[in-house]
Amino acid sequence: MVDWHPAKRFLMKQTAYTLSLITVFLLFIQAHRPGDYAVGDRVEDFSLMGVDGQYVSLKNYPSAKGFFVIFTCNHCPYAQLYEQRIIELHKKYAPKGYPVIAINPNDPEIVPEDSFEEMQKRAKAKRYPFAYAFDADQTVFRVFGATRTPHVFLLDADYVVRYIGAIDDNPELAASAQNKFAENAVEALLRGERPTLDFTRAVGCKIKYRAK
Amino acid sequence: MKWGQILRNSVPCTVFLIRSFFMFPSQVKYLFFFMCFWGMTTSCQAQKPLLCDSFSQLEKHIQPYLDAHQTVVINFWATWCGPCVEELPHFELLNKTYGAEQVKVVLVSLDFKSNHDKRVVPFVQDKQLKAEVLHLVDLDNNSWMPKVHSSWDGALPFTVVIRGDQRKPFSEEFENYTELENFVRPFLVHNPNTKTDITDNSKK
Repeated sequence: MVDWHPAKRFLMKQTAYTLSLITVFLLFIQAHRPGDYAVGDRVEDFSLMGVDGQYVSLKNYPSAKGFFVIFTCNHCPYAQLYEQRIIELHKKYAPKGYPVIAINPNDPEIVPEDSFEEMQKRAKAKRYPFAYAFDADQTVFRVFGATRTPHVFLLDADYVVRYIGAIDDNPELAASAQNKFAENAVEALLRGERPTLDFTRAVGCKIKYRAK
Repeated sequence: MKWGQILRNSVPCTVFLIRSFFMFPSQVKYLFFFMCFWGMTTSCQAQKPLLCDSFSQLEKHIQPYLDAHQTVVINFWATWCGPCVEELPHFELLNKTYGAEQVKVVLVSLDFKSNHDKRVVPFVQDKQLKAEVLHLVDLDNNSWMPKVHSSWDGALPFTVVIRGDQRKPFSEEFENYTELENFVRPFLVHNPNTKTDITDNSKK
C-alpha cells in the first residue's frame, strides 16, 4: 500500500469506509427486520381491511394504552370456543384502554368459511364489538409469527409485545379455566408492571396458507 | 375372519336370538343374526384408544418403544382438525410399510376428555386405524409441550420423529405419503444413508 499512488490509496480508503458503512447499515436493518415477534419486540403497524369496510391500524386508536391483537377465524372449532371470551375481553378492557383487534390470517381458497364475506356475516351475527380485519396477503401473521387460531399478542402503548399465547387454560369450558392468562397479563400492564407469565402454549388450528 | 372366533363371539348373540325367536318374523331374525355377527367381529378387531390423563402417563407408555431403540413417529392430531384427519392415511401407510420392524407410529389425539367415547373411540373404529392411538388430556400445555419439542407451541397437526436422543419436528401437514417417508427416512435404523449425526432442523 505504501508504494501505491496517493490518489489510488485515497480511493481505496474511501471505498473501504463506504463498504463498512453499508455493511453496518445492512446489519442494523437485519436486526430490526420484523418477523416472529417475541416478548419485548416492537410491532410494526399494519393496515388491513376490516369487516366494516374501513382499514384497521394500531394508529387508528390514538388513546389506546395497548392492544389485544388476536389471530382468529370463523371455521376453527377452538376459535369458536373462544369467540365469546374474545368479545368479553374487548368489553372489559377496551374501556380501560386495551381494545381487541381480531385478524383472520387464513387463505379462503383453502377454507371458504374464512372468506371476507363470511367474516362480515359472522361479525354481524355475533355483534362483534371489536375490529375484525382480513390478512388478505397473509403477510401480517407471518410478521407476527402467529402459528394458530386463536393466538394472542398483547401490546403496550409503545406497540411492544408483552404477552404471547392463550387466552386461558381451558378451551372447552370457560367457567372451568383456572388460569386466565390474557387477563392476568393485561391486569399487570394496568398496574404498570410486566406480566409474570408472558408466554403460553395452546392447542389450536394451524393457520391455513399455501406453501410458496 | 376365523370361523372359530365368530362362533365364540356369537354365543351371547345367539342366546338373545333364541329368546326373541318367537317374537320376530323370519326376515328380521336372519338380519339381526347377521348384524350380530358383523358387530362382534368388527368391534373385536378395532382398537380402543388408551386415555392418558397426563403427559407423564403417556411418556411411561411410550418409553419402552424408545428404549427398544426404535424409530418412533408421534403425530398429534384431533378429530375436529381437518388437515390432521387428511394426513392420517399417510401415517397408516407408514405403519403398514415399516411398522413390523423399524418404525413405531403413535397417533396422539388431543380431543377433549369428554369426547373420548363420543368422538375419539368411534372415529378410531370407523377408520379402522391400525397404528396405535393414544388420547392425551393434559391442560398444562406449557409444561408438556416443550418436552415433545422446544419449537412446538400447540398448533395442530404436529409430528415429531425420535430415535435415541435425536428428534426432529414437522410443523406442517404432510401433503402426501412420500413427504412423510422422506421425513422419516434419515431416522430408519437400517437405512444405508443414515448419517451419524442427525441434524435437528427445528429453527423456524
